[in-house]
Amino acid sequence: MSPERQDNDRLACFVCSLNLSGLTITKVILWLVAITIVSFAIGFGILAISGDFPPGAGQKASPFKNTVLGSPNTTSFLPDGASSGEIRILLGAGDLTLRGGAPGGRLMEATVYSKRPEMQPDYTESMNNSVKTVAMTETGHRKKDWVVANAPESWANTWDVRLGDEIPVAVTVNVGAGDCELLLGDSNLTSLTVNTGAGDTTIDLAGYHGGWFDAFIYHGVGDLTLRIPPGSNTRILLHQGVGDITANGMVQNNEQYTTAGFNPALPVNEITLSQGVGSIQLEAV
Amino acid sequence: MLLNEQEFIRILRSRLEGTLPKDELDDIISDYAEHFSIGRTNGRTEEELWRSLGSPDDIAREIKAMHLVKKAESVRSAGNFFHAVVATLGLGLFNMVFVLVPFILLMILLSVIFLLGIVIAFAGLAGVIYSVLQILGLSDFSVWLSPLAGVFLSIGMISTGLLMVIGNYYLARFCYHGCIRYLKWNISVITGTESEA
Repeated sequence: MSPERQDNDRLACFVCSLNLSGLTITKVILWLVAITIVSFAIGFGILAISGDFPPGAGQKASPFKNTVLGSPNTTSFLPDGASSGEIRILLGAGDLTLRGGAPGGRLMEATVYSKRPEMQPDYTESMNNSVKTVAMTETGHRKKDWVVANAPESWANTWDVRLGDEIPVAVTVNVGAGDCELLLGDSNLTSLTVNTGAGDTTIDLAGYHGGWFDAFIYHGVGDLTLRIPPGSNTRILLHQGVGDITANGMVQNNEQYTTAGFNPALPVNEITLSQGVGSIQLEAV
Repeated sequence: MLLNEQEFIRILRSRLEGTLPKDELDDIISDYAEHFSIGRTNGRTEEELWRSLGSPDDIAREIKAMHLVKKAESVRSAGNFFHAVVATLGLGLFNMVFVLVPFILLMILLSVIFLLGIVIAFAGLAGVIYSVLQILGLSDFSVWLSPLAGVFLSIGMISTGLLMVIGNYYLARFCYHGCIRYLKWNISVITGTESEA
């Protein structure tokens, strides 16, 4: 018997062992229909449980990340020997994620997902007395109202900005309309200024091990979550606006919220928070 | 050109040779020869009989079209169907609109559904791979709002794509039967034998 014949016999035995004789096309179709229904049910169920689906008002119902549909444009900035940095971000309409994790040696790296060319930001960088300043400004907002409650789908604009941790940075963020997520636990801050318009904001400093900083947060319309490391020596001075305030793991004294074990004699992370309209959640857990 | 029986039979035979089997061709030729023979017995000239039958070219086209449609009906294949459509188109300019246009639209519809099914299935496959890589922490690029949901939604896309391809096969079969019936009706209308069909 030739080797080829032996291979054919092995294949025939394998096919026979699958016992496919009872598998009709009707059964295949029924199985596929069942798999389709169950898969979509589980998939959308997971999205519903995680809160990603159904979407909010004005958003397109899609299980896809909207950033996938835009063409990303990534720009990096080096510290150029500066001893500290200053990052200024101005986003008129869109979603912003600011976090640590810029690739080694970079001061900042920004990726912009946008379908419209006018939504591409202007970048400016300058050096002044060993302070490197990088400004990232949306140009599109000049052509329309600065604050838009429900941006059209075609304005979909998402910025993903990563900061380096080699030198301390002063961060200023201005967002008109859109969600804002600042995940700064890996960063090294000297100051933080956040000015939000309409949209939900999360400022997460959990795990922060950088230097001492002052922060000014001007809250607009929407919910705000501020998460700080419980072991830090942090004081929040809150100017109350309209909306609920909840604090977990913090000690309240009138409009002051401090972390447990707060000691004013030691260096303090001082956060001034002006509430606009919407609930504020303070967490130190 | 002489309008006699030999010339009529010669033209008819030459047009049908290579398309019809020999025995079927001989039957048709003998039918027409008999028609001429009976006509002559009744005192009619061969030229009169020729004019009453019509052009042998037209008759050959009609016989050829009907034969190819019946062949496509008995032996299903894309080739037979295509030949039947082309032969039916040859029956007149009328069929350029009433056969060619629906045929092209049908082909486009079936092709689009098939390609869409393939694309959705492969996109689902890519979605599964990206979702799994994201769950394993090997990729930052994400397509879905949630990678775990993405695995299931991608599997759903794969099965949807396969269902579209299978459904397209059955739709093609259904359309095949419908088209054959339509072609037969079309030929019968053109040849004026609608009631016989």
